[in-house]
Amino acid sequence: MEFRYKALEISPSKSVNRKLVVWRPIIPVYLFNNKKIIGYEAIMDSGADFNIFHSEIADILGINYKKGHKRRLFGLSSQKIKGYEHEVEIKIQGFGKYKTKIIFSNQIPVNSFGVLGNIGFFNHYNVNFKYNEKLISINLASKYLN
Amino acid sequence: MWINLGKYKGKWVALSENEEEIVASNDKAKPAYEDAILKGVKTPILFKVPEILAPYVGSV
Repeated sequence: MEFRYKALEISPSKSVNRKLVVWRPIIPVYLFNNKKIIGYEAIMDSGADFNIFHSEIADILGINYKKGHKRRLFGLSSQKIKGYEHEVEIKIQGFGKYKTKIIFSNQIPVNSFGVLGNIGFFNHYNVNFKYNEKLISINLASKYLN
Repeated sequence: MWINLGKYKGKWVALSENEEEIVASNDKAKPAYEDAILKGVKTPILFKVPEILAPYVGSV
């Protein structure tokens, strides 16, 4: 299954009024809980250990996110953020649903995104980033093939 | 659509099922989601537009 990178316009500098178009591997994922289904755009980041989603998504799904296992997370800034781990059914277009770990947090930085990370996403799929063609090729990892 | 998100900085946008149209936006995710449902989108796709659209080198 192939997905396209998304083009976003950013400001690389505060002092210069210049815009830059960047391409990011953001894809929609679908989350399920009881009869609720919600789509959510998240960035694929193979440097991230876990899936980290905004807590408001849990609220819509009817999940009390603070009831999950507490997790602390660190990024490049070394700033600690707090999240809560849950097992949630997830799906990406072209593949079946599976249950995976998602950490919900209300402390995702204002310049960041929901993240698809290694445990819960990249351990399920083989992903080929073709940045020059602005395409991402996703296949089920061989251990999940029949 | 994606390239024109600047005016939605810091907001939740609800996208159509083909991700090509913004059908609702709000400071909170739930009203954006519910508004999109009311407008006939069966499964809205939510995206939190970063408040700061700047170079990105990591997740948190």
